[in-house]
Amino acid sequence: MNLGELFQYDFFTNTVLAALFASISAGIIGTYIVSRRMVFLSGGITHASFGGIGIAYYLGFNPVFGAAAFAVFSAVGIDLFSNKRFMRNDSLIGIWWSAGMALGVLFIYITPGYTPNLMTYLFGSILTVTALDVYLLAGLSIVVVVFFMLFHKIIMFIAFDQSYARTHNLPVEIMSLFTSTLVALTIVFSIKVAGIILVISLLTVPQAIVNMYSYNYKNIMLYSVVLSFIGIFAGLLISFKIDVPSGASIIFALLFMFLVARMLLFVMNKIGVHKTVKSKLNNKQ
Amino acid sequence: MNSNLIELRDLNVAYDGKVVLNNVNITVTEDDFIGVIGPNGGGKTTLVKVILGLLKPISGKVIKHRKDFEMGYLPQYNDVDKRFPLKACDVVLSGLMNKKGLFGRYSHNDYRKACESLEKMGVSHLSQKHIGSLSGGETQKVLLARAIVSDPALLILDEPDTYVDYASEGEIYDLLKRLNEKMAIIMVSHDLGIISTYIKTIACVNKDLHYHASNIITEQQLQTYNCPIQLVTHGKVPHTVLANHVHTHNHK
Repeated sequence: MNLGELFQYDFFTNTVLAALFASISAGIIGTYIVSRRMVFLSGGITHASFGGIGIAYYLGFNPVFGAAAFAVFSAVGIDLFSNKRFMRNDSLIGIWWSAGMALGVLFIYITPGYTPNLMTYLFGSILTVTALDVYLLAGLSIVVVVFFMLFHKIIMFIAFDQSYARTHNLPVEIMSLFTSTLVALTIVFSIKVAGIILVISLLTVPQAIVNMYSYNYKNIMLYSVVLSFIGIFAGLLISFKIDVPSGASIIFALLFMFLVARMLLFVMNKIGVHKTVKSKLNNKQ
Repeated sequence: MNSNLIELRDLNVAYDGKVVLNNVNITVTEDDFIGVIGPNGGGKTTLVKVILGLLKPISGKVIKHRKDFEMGYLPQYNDVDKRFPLKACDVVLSGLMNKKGLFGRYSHNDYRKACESLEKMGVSHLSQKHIGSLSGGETQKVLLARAIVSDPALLILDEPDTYVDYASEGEIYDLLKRLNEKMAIIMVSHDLGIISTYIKTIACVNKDLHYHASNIITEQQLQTYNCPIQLVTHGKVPHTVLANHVHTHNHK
C-alpha cells in the first residue's frame, strides 16, 4: 500500500489532520511543560482524566468532554493547592493520579451493557479519530498558537522565575491558571493520538531531542512541532506496514529519532563540530 | 535625614503554625546598606520575602513610605533553574517585564538597558550565552544585572556569595558598594566576616530581629542578640576583619 492509496480513505485525511494539529499544540505546550519541569504533574493530569472518561461513559455523553472537564479540574486544582503548602506537591499528584484512574475503572465497570474498548483510551488509536476530534484539536492549536504568540515573553519569564515575576506585580496566578488549562486540554485532546499511557512522550521526546542542540526556547517550540509531526506520521506508516497498534509505533518512531539525534550529537562532539554545554552544567545541578 | 522607603511594623510570620518571625520592626531608608545575618532557619529569607511581598505576614504591617518604587531581587542561587532555555540577555530583560504590559514587546531601548546592565556587572561578553553554561560567579552577576536593570530604589540580595569564587566575591561586593550610592541595599549573608567592610548596618535575625546601627559587631553583642553565628574571618589571626574595618568604615 502506498501513500497515495492511503489518502483515498476519508478516515486517513482526518488522521493526518489530527496528527498535524496535535503536533502543533503538543510541540508548544510540551516545551512549556519540559522547561517548567512539570512532566510529572502532566502525567498526573493525563491519568486523572480517565476518571472523566469513565463517568462520561456511565452517564452516556462523549468521553472527550468528560476527560476534558476532569483534566482541567485537576490541573487548576493542583495549581491552586500547590501554592497553599497543603501537602507535598508530588504526593498530591500521586494521589490524584491513581484516584482518577480508579474512578474511571469503577464507572466503566458499572456501566450497563457493552463495555467500551478501554485500549483505545489507554493506548490511543489515531486511525479512529472523528471529525469532532479534529475540530477540537484544530481549535485548540489556534488558541495555543495565538496565546503563545501574544504572551510568549511573559509566559517564559513566569515559567523561569515565578517569584521574580511576582515581585514585579505580574499577573502570575491568572497566567498560570490559563496555561495550566491549555496544558490539560492539550493532553486530553491528544489522548486519541497516543493514549493515556503514552501521550506524555509526545510532550517530552521531541523537546528533549531539540534541547540537545538548542537552548533557545523559541527554537525548541518550533522544531518540536516539526519533529512530533514527523514522529506521528512515521509511526502511522509503520503501523500500517506491519500492522501494530499506532500508539506504540508512534512512540517508537519518536524514540528512534531521539536515539539517532543522541548518536549524531555524540559523533559531532567527538569530531569537534558541536560543543555541548552540558559539561559545565553537571556540577551545578 | 534620609527619607524612609519601607517599614516593617510589629510583624509576625508563621509557617504551618510555627513562628518564624516574631514581632519584627525595621525601617529601611534610601541609602541603607543592611547586612542581614543569623543562623540557618532563623528567618533571613522569610524576612526578605515579606519585604518583597512574596509572603503574607499573619499580623503586622509592611508600610511603603514611597509610592510605587521598584525593588530589585536576587534570589537564592538554588531557586533559579539553570537548565531553563534562556540566554543571559533574556534573563536581564525579564527584569523589565512589568513595564511592558502583558504583550511584552521589547524596544531597542530595553535591549540597550539590558546590555548596559550587563556591562555594569562586567559580563557583557556573556549576553548571548545560555545561562546553564555560566559559572557560579557569572550567573550571580547576570542575576544581579537583572535585579538592577529596572533602576530599583531598593535592592534585595539573598546570599549573593553562594557558589562564587573568592575573586568574584570581592568584585561583586565592590559593585554593590557603588550601587549603594543610588539605591538602598538589603543583603542576606551567612558570612559576616567578608561583608562587614561593605555594609553600613547589621540586622540579626533569629526569630527576633535586632537592629545594630553599625557594621562592627562583637561576639558578645551577637550573644545578647540571641544570634548564634560564627564570625568567620579570613585572616590568620581571629577577628582580623573586625579590627580592620574600624579604619575603613566612616560613620556618616
